[in-house]
Amino acid sequence: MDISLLNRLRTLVVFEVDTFEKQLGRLRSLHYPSGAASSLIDNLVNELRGHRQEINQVLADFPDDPERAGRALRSQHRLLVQKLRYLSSLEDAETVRAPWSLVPSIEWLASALLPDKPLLATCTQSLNYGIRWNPAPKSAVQRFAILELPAIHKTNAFLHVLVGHELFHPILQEFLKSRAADVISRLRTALNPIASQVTKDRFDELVEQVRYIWQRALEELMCDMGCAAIFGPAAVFASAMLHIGGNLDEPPSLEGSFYPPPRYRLREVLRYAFQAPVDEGQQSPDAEPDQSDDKPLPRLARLLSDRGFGWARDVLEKQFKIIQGEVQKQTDLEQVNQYPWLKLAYEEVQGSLPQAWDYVRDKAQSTSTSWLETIEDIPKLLESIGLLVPPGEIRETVGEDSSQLRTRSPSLSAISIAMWLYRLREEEQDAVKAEDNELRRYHRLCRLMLKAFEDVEIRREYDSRKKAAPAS
Amino acid sequence: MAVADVQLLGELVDCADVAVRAAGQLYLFRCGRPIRDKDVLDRAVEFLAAAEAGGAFMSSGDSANLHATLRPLNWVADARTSGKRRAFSAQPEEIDYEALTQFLRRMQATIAQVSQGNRPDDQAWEECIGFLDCLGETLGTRADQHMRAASIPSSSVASF
Repeated sequence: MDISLLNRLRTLVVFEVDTFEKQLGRLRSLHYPSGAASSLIDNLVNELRGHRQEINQVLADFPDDPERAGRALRSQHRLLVQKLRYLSSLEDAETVRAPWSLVPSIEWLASALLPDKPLLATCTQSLNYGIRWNPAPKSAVQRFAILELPAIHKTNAFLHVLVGHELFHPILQEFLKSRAADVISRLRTALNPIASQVTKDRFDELVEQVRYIWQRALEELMCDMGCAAIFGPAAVFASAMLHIGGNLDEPPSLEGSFYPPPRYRLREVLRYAFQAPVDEGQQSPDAEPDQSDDKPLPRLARLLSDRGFGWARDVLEKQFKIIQGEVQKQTDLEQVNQYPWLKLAYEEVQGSLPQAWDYVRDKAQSTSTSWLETIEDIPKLLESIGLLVPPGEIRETVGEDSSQLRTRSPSLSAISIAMWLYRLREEEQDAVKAEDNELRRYHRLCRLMLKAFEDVEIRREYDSRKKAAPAS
Repeated sequence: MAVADVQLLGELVDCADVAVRAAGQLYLFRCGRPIRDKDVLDRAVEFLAAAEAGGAFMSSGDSANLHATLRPLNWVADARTSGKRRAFSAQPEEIDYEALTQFLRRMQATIAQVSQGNRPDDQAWEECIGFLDCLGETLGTRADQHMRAASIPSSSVASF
């Protein structure tokens, strides 16, 4: 590259570093709901110093290697451009944009599931929950996971249960890696006879593409199951709410980032996380609910009934029956089975699912985040919600003395499940009422839910400070 | 851009950078300068080893060293087959996976030699620097394509 063009390229890249630093200076002055943003800013500032050093080194090497100086500067340019997303993420993490009262709860859950990854919670203008993380971080910045919530649903507390899905994404690598070699091996054999019919790509690309379809499907399904392992029925209700905004049978595609069909996702969550009958003929529409064993749903239904919340049991059973009815349709499978390579990928998915469920269930259990651990709290919280009190505290007697009361925080999952059950009852009642009234009631419940999450975190902070304070 | 696409772009940018910097280190060492960034040479060897395992698997079915993905093999094969995507070509390019595996072993051996402060012969040096240059350019160009958004008219209510 000619020296004058190289100098122009240098100006371009140095300008970017300089502007990046100034933007970080501005972002540092904003208010954030936690310390994650300022920690990310500090680390970005350090990395920008590294970029400056690299740029200086390229220029120092120019006399010996003029040919590669341009390539090296272009590479620095790419690395910088790729980091620009952090600037918009920091903007989106500002207190006025993020669901600030929920952020401490999200960070607490993230610290349990992803102890080695600091998390920045953001609200973006896209209709999706998402997480960005680096599976093999090589710097402090790359250790950060960026969680994205849809800004339009910032106050829609019922949907935020889906954060549980996102937090599972970064912890699946170990499982996926352990199974990938066997899957690739089988795919290579199975794809060989059909390769010439289905593609004009190279064979290694075809095998990789089908492996990637397997991985993407399994990732999403494992995250769905992980979310259900933590939030129980609330995860299913929240997923269904988001999924019904689109086609439940949308086939996996490159344009759609190979997401599995929503109907398929709901079916596998019911099958594994709730051991519910999901195949045709397993349950007739009028069948009595399964009360015969200790499966999660019958257990919750019995608990609700025993504690005097028969209406909540009815809501739970009715809503699951509705979703079971949806997943018993096979229309999504028809989409998957129409392409031989897709069919092969999904056969591998089916083979991986039993161990995948064991993996995510064990993660939830080992981090004490499983909803089943605090299932007993759900009826207690329903009492508070019935009085329109935020369900952020549980009062109980100490021992035999009914006059001695103590309080404690409920789990995030118990709050979410209780709120969802209450909401679904209101939904049934509101079905024939005016739209504005319904929305007002919905917003009120969202506020109760967010307040409950906030109360739990205030209590957690208080307890932790009390524990750390020296005894007087 | 979906989460998976962002991650793939990150891998592309990182791998392109490793190839560009490794080629630079090899060239400067050849000019008599000391190795400044040994880490990038180790990372280049690591990437090529993953691609080699993929090539060995595709040629013989041996999955012993196979990583969780064939992506390193895909990218290396792209760089070897002129670095162009096949979107506009009528026929898929045939890859001799056995020969590609041998080639990748040679590249790793050359980089490892330099990493230990030894000087490979001229032909090996030329071949390795040329390949890393091509790999960096191929992956970098693809990353550039992902990072830019085209100017296109947005749809409006009036158009329906």
